[in-house]
Amino acid sequence: MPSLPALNNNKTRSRPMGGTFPLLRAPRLLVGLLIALCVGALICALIAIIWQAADLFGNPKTSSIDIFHLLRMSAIQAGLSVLLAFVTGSIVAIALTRLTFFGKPFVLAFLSAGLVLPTLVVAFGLLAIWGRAGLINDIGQSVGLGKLPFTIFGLQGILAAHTILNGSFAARIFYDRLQALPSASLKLGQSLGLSEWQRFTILDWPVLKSAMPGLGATIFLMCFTSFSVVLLLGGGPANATFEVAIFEAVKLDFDLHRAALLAAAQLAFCLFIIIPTAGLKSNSVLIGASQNHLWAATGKVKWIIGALLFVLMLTYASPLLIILYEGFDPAIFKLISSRKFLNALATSCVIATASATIALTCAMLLAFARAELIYQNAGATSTNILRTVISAPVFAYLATPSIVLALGFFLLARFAGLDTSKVGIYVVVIANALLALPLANATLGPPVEKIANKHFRLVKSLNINGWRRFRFIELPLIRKECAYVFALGFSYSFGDLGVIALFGTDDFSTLPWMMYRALGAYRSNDAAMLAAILLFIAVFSFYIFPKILGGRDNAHLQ
Amino acid sequence: MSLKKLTIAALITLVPFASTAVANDKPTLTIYTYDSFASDWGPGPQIKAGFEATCNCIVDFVGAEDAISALRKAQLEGDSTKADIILGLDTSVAAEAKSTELFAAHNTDLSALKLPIDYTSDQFVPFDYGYFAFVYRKSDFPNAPTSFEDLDKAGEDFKFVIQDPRSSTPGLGLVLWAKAAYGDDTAEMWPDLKDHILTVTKGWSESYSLFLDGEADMVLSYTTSPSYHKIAEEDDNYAAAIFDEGHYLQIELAGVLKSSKNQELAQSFMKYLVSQDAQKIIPTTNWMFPVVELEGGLPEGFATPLTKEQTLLLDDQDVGANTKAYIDAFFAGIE
Amino acid sequence: MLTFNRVEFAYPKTTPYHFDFRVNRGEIVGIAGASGSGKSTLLDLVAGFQTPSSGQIELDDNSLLRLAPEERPVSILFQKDNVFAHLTAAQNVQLGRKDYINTSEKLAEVGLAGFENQKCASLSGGQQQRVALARTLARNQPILLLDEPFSALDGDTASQMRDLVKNLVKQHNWHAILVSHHSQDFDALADQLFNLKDGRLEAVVR
Repeated sequence: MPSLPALNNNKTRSRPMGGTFPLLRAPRLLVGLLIALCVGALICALIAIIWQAADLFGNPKTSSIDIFHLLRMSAIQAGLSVLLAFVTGSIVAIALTRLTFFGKPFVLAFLSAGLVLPTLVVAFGLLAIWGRAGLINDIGQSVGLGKLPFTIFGLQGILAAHTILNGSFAARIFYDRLQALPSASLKLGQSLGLSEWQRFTILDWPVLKSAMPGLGATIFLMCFTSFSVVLLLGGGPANATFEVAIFEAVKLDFDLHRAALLAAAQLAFCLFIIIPTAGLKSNSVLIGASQNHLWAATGKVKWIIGALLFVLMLTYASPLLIILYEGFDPAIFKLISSRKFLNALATSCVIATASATIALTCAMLLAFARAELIYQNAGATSTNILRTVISAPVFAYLATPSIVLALGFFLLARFAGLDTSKVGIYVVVIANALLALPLANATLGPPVEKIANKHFRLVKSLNINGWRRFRFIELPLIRKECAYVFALGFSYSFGDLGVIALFGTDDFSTLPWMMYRALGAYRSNDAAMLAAILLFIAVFSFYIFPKILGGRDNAHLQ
Repeated sequence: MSLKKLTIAALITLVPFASTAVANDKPTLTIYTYDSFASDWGPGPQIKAGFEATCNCIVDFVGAEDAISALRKAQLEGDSTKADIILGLDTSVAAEAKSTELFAAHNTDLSALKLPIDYTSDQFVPFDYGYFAFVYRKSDFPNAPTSFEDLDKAGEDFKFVIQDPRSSTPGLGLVLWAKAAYGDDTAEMWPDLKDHILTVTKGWSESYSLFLDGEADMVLSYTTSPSYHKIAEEDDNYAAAIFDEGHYLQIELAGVLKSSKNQELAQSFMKYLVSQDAQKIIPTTNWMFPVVELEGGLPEGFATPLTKEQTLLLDDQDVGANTKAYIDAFFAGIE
Repeated sequence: MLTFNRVEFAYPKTTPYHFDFRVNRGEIVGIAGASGSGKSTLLDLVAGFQTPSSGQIELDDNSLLRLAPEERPVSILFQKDNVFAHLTAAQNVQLGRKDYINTSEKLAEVGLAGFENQKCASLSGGQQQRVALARTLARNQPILLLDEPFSALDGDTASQMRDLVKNLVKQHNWHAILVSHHSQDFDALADQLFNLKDGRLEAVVR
């Protein structure tokens, strides 16, 4: 137990009390650091072991890969995707805070669903709307308007798919943050008659801005390493990715040195994004207890943002709705009663539950460790370094191609003397947990730090530590977020197709894997039904987990 | 607390996966193959049943993403690999596979096999073959293209979809096909065609879905793809465009690993694989041509094999040595 | 004169509120009552965040109910969050007005001369309340709603603030409603005092 520090009444609460090594007195900090270091070490081990294996199985060949070209193209694409996700996401979030309408809870549950589906499914949904043979062209032609003047293939298609996947997630995060504005501030603003522009710049913008670095880094990395969408909608090799180059190195050439180098290069570039954001404090100046005061828009503004919301939600949701529609087939009952389906469903549920639990636990412990820096009141420089050390590894998995993850885990198991045919499920669980961790971290970090900022004096003076702090202070206040993170982690690994594709077999099958195999065996009808089921489960889990785990006060999720 | 319950449930359900011990005295023949071969819809289950009926053994198909992944997996596992056989490699990676020196001689008599062109290898047994081709809907094309050049003349809006040669077998097949048909002239051909390429997908599945959804007019696939629609779906609207230049042949191969402790068993599986019993399973499960003349002939409605004159195939050694250069030239051409 | 004329209001499934009272010019009416008794709801009705189901709220015979919150002649002082912490004191004061005003003058009036360019985040709780009061001055609206404005302040600061508020209300002839838990607030400020219980106001005789 750390000794009780003198109560620090100074408003600016600057000076340390923990000496040079405050972490030695803070078990939570140690646990968080340990997790972060393990995660980081695992990444390094995965790449290193591939490099190591290259000496055993080396097969070096020359390559004409232009790394800088790949980097530039991926960075431009990812940067634009972040921009679009932010613009559309903040418009939707702002509109939702200003409007109240029938079906709003459903819209909110829907907002996270796009992100967690296999990207391939969303891309095909997008095509079913905007493609050459899509709904819009069908309607356009039947009413005599002709075809769309543009094609969805190319950079525009990639950006559209990424915006649907990430924009709705950004909207969800932004909305939650805006909901946490103190109701006094909202009432005050309303009473003062702030104009819409003033409301945006004074109230909304600081909130949105504070959420942007963590969210932006996450979205950037997901788009930077996006693979199947880029290839499917890219319209040609100009939009190739690192991942294809690594595929080539591993499969065709069996040049593991190059594979490891490419993975390291991608990771190194991503660190330029990760390091600066990892050190940032979440700006919680404007985040307070929410009483959900609705400052509704009126008059012209109401109609304008209502229309914007409608159009954007339609854009987000239509590719998903059409997946549901196309999967609706009487044969679905035969499918869902088949043994293969039930097995895959069970496996999916186990994997998703396990990896959601791991992701939630890790995210919580990491958030507690960062919050501990506030409780321990450590000096500014060491705080920033520690924050970075704790936060950075969380993102690193997003920056690691899934084929490298799979290959690395495979080699780790082999060198550890494990039966490589049986580690599949553990690898999939761990990999999915770690892939969901950045999202979990972005959701859970700010509220935990907010609690620390708000209550640290009281907590320190009463010496509420460890389990008691968790049970009585933190858990009741972050239960809602925990439930959301669990739902996120659950459906994220439920929808995974990246890792399972490298480990799935006939005996070890998940629903997305079953879907992909159906697609590969001409069974596009089965695939459509499975896609619809996946989407349904994703939306449903965002509805049900907050209900089960979120306690009574889960108004913002219902 | 519900959270705790969920964690416990997760742990309990995870345990069975950890312990799938098989208690049996019969030897197990482990075959690494590509996933769709091993899947329910593929030939795997029937072949397994067929061979197990006579061998007093257990056949275990282990699916990997594709055949080359299966080979790489066995390579990485080294001496400790459980694999006895790698099944599904093809002529475009045969040289690469051979160079790993992992494969033993198969000692199977291949003289009775009926392939469009002679294929001899002392390490690999051919078990089926097919031709890469562009598949289209008959209703879209009264006059189907009959050459690569025709693809360029099919109209401005005409789009076809292909696969990345670095991650997909047909994708690589296309590059070799063009090379075999046009030699160095491919450098001039690709730039003409690039405007018609809808996109280059990672795998065959994505491409074929784009085609089925109507996003593309044609898809790079096999001459036997329309047979699926005709036989399994009773839909006669699909056809493969037959090109005057000929079609590139893909022969699928199986090989026994030197490291296998079941050499005899593996060799007898090779013999079974090219027997009438196994070969008659191939057409309507793997949608490829069998390597022997089936006693009852090909199933009703199945595609017919092309003639020797229509068949293109580059030499294994040429492919092994130059694949990278061909792929680079392909990308340079369509960039 | 601010009048509540048989104002009725109810949240779903709760006892309805009934308010019937008046506030004269330059007068401070205190509202006491247990937590959750509806004190803040009363203020919300004046400010326009809630609408009564029946009855009338009038200022000098003009109904307030037709007006949107931003059109009501009302200033509010909460317990906290009265200022936008990332803006300067002067910016916070200027927010009260559409036209350009001399913010320094208003800040000086509440004892914050020279604090114009300080970010509110760096001010103490008491200073933040003063900035909010300066903004109330800048707005100079006839109605002032006080929602526990002294509760977060320490003894001396609170008593200084109470004096300041009292003087300003008298000086500018505002109609003020003070909601509080603390009897010393009422002792110092309230001209009339009501206790809110079971949805009704009972006059407290002192």
